[in-house]
Amino acid sequence: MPDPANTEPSNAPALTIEGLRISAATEHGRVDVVDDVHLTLRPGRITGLAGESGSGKTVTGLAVLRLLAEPTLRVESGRILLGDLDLARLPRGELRALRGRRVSMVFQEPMTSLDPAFTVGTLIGEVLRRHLGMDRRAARERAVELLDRVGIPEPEKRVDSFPFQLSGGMQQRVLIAMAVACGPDVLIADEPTTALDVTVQAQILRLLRSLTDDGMAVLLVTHDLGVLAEHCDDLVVMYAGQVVETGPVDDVLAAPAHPYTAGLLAAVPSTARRVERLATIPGTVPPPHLLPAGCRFVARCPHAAPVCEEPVTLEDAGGGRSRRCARAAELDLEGVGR
Amino acid sequence: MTTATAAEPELVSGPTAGPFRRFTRRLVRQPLAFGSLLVIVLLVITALAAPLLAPMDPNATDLVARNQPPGGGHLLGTDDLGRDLLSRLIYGTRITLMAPLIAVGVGALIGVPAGLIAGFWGRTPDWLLSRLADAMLSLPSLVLAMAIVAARGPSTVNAMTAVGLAFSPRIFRVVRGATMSVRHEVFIDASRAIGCTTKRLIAVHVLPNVAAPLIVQATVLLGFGVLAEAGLSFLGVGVQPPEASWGVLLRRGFDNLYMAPFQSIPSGLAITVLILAFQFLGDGMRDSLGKELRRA
Amino acid sequence: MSTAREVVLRATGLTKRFTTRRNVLGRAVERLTAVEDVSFELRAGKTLALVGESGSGKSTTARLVTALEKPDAGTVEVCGTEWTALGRSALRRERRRMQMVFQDPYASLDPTKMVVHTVGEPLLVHEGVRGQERDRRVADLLERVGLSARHLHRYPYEFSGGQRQRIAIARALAAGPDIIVADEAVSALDVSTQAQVLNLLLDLQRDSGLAFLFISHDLGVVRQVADHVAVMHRGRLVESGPADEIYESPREAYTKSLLAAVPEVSPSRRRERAGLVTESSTGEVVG
Repeated sequence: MPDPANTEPSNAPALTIEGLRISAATEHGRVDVVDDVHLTLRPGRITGLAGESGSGKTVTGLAVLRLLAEPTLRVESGRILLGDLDLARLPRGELRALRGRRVSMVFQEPMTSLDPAFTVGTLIGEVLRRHLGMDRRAARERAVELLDRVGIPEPEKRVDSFPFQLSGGMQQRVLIAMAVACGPDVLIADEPTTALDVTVQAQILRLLRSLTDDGMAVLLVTHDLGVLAEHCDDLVVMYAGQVVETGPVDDVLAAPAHPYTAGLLAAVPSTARRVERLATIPGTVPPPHLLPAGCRFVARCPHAAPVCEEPVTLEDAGGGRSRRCARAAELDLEGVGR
Repeated sequence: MTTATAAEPELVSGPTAGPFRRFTRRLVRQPLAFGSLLVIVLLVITALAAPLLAPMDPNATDLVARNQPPGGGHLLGTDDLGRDLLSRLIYGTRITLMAPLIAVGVGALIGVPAGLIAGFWGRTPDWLLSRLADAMLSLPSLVLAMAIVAARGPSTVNAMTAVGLAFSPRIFRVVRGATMSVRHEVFIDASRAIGCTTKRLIAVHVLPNVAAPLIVQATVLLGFGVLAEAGLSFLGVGVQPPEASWGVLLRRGFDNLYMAPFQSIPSGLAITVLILAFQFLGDGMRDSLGKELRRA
Repeated sequence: MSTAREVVLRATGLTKRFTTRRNVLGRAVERLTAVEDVSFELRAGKTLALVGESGSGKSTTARLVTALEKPDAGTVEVCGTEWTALGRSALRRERRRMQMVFQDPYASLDPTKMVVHTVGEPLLVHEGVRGQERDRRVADLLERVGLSARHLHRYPYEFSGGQRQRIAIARALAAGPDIIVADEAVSALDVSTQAQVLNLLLDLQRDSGLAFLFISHDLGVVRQVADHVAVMHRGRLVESGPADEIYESPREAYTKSLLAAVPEVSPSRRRERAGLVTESSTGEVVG
């Protein structure tokens, strides 16, 4: 796990993304799929990155480790700062040394993310031997410790299992063990529980929380607002490639500052009571080549006004919050009752 | 555009053209495929208009003017019986084009239905048909062709029917494989739940979805067909003299290679161009099937 | 009041086993019981939700009910006709009474067919309707699901996930069914689109008295549509009853643990839930 010195200055961000712009080659030419994304991950905190399909949340997550499918997807501008290193500009070789060591990633499909030809111990051991130069014996012992850490029962036995012998939840635990093996500062988790059942999901998310005790910062990419509400500290909401709102989770949920956030919250079906009619957001996310010049949510927004036709910037709203809405000051949006 | 109804905004603009129009439009946009199509169309015209295009009677021998080099009265020279090679090349287009079509047609007639049945039902029909296909693949196609010709007499049609039989297991395999993967698609279940008959499922939902690999395989086999025809004709079981295909011309020219090297060049080039044209057209057709048909 | 309505779908003792291993002779040596002794009733104009986690047998139950699979035991009765006893062609004719909407809107539409053919297929198969008459009726159906006649001659790839699911619903409606079986029909959709499609389903039910068998793992979604809920676990029904009862006072420990695990946006609901389940028994199954 990270050295204790790392956890001390908890105000220094673990990772900062500034003005990130990513373009994609499509049949309509090269268009921006991520534009002007700013976000900050802090040590020991889980930041939720929320958005629907086409919002650019997954692409943003992949960009941190420069795992974009180039040349289809390309970082055009912006900085991804890990300490004073700019990951967006780091030479390939140095970046490779960082992946899995200081920044790690966990993906949605545990089964396809694990090489079926190797045992769990070999897979975890490979990370340790590569990055930390451990020998085979030491790597295996450490792998057993890690399996124990991620809550796999009988780790001495499980270390020799093949991925297909494990349930989906266990596979995701193994992936997390691989990701945190070298005690990274930052963990990017892209929909880590979407393929899992709810009961297993809750356990995996609790595991992620426990891993942040050591000062690791987590970026949790998900479309599930319930997951965000229950398991994140900070929230970043993306819409059509832009960040539209950020802030501490409870504050954003209680009083969203962007109509899109409010709309999403209202549309989530709750188990609490049956409503006559579910709130919806009319229409769909516009495709990247048909984005309006002004606010990108304008066509679906119930509060749209002429002022929304002008480009809007992400502005600081105090209290650690920011928003991208020209009418934010005059709107009183409904959140989720505390 | 998005206010009143729950309908989502249009993602596409402009009216959608019919499937065939879009197919041809996409095909025409690929230079290699379009060029190949032009070559094949030109060859078909040549075959149809051979009597008008050929400068001389292709079968008229002139023992005085044997093995003439190109130029003079004979643009491509003459063969060892003094026949005009250009005229023979032009007339040869007919059989050269027809032969691979017969072979692939016969192959598809057998292979496609068998592949659909084996792939869709699996289990016993699949096992039986697959073993039969393996057996046919292990049988040399030449022996098969000889047997058919022995029974029915030498002719291009008989020889190419035999080649088609030899092709059928290859087509079978491609169609079977594609069918097996399509069979498990949800839209097949969806159509079954609607109340479609199995016949309709296969003809309307499976067949169009196996078209792409089938087209590729068919064009590869068209190329093979050209070569097979040449080989069989050389053995005397295909086209009967004095008629000639390009393959026959190439073969005869080859025999005279030392004396008259020019004789085999035009037919050789023509065969190369034709096979490449089939190939490129096939690739272009597959790519033109569009997103609605193209599968991973 | 609901008891007065006629039963349109009745499943009795449904059981299905799958062979997982065969010996050299092709005899089954290992079997997995996917569904065991499942019985339920669905009444006209009502929604019964079948909920459970992956591997609970809920999707297999849907396939048994819709006769896409044959049960090893048990019967399915649709509008008084026992489907499990029908011959092939009789079953095909009966199928129009119960239609299905699948989970993945990208896989459930034939990519080679234009919308007019996909949606018009039940009309052709059951009524022999084609040509202009078909076009007109498909256009009507598209309008009922929030699309328009402009979409008639388009291919599935031209539509978003939500629009495709509308097309699938239009196709189900084309047969003029009494029952629609929706197998995770909104699970693949984004929250805002999901709400649109759910509202559409509710509208259709109100307007034409359709009965829904709604299969889902999403307890939030189920809460919004179901009149009755049946909870499945490892192939069996563990608890069933009116939706309000299941959600407000679940009896079985499994139902409680399932409800406790649903991530909630609302803090107040989280507190309610904590009171609901004194001790969550969410033991994860290993291997």
